[in-house]
Amino acid sequence: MPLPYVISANITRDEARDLIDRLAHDEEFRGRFQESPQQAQRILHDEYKIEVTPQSLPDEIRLPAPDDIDDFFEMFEQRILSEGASPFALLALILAFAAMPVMMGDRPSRNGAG
Amino acid sequence: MARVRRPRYLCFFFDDFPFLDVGLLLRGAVELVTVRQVCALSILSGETVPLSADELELVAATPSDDWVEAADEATSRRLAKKGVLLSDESDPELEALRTRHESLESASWNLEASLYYFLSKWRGIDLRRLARQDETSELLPPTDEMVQAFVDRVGLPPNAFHSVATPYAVHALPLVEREGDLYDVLLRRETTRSFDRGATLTLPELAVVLRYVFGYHGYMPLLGQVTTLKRTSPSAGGFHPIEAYPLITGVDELEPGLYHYSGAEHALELLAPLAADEARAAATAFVCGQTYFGDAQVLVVLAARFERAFWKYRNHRKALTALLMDAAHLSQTLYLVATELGLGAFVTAAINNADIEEHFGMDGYREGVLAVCGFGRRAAQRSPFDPEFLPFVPRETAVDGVPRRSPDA
Repeated sequence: MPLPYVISANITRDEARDLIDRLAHDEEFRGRFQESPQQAQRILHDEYKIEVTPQSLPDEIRLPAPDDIDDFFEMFEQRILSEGASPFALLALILAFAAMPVMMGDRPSRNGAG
Repeated sequence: MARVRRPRYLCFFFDDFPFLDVGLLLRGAVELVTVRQVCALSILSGETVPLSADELELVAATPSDDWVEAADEATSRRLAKKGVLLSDESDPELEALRTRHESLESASWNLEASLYYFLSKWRGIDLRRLARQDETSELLPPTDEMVQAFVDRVGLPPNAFHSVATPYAVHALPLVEREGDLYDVLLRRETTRSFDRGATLTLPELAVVLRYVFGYHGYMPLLGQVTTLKRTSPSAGGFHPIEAYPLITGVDELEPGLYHYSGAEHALELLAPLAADEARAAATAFVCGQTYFGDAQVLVVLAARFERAFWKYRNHRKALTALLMDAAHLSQTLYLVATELGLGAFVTAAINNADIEEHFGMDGYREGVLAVCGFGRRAAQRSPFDPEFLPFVPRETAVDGVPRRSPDA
């Protein structure tokens, strides 16, 4: 029996990674998130464009333990950002191929053609 | 009412990635779901923009060759701010995006080439920060443990040496040994990552490198109107659209600063004088915190005059490749000339293109940065980033991965 909630996400993988990272590692963020269902709904909407209908919210927000989310984060990093942002990988490449350090999972300039 | 059109410099892709089931997350459980997301890649803004089905429909229904009234003004404006639509509103941000679009069109930028070029630009990258190192200190090499961890994670690379699987025959070639200045320079050529920060170059040394790498040694007028040029490196169509912009930190008789090398006059045009410490900081920032390159007395920014190259290769998929090759040829020639002078040299593509363009006042569309090379006085001590190569002789040196065939095979 599926849970009676309606959620729609319009999100990039970078944004998804950021949310998972914060849920796993940012105590202050987790605290704000768990203040109330409305607060969680607001954060998801305002910061990540994830829509959760009021009917879909539980009476109380109870996040999984940080370690559990961190396990998922590690998997996410491996599977999605395996070309990802590890500075150690970056430095290894600088050493091995020093003329062209490779920034893993590099991001384009935020203003593109500018 | 605002009018909108769809930019020509826009691509779409589908992205599937694992995510947390948000409903269960709020109830204390971690469960994997797959997000299937349509995204727009805006070449104007450099942004990946996730699109809902409605937004995608709106963008698809908006023509690229005509301005039309925005059907959904709020959504259209939001998408225009991200470079997914163009809007004729008199908002500075939207005007800037319109200008970028006009510049790309007027410079005859090819769509695929512009996608690669503009979305691979960097701004504000510092490798020391990424490595969680002190950004005011030297970039430190990774430890052996870090390197091993990387290899453990991704495995070993493909063999260094390649041979085809089933050749009809293998003809061993004579192991020729040539002597002379050219061969000596070729064999001594290497990337230098240890420059003597306290030393300076002489003006004649600088002049030699600029003259023999970036100077012009011939020209040919076509139909009396189109001038092609000759340098010591090849260039597509003889157009030589790569310009040299030196950042000088330590040359006798020259103040530190940003310059342009005028090949026509064999002269340096000072664009911005800098204090010595500012010049050094700019040098390191240009090359993303690679402090070993920032120590060189001269960095040369290789900038492409896209307009000149694309005048001939209009909207051409291969034009950017040709430009990158031009820049690569020039960097190799710089290595050779610097080596002949007893100087060290380097080239890197790990650069903050967008920041460099701002420093030099380039618009990025008609003229933009491809790479940075440099040269200078070598330090007595080699950098820990300098590899120590062992000599290699074909058919004699035993290295893993070298095919061992009989010379008569």
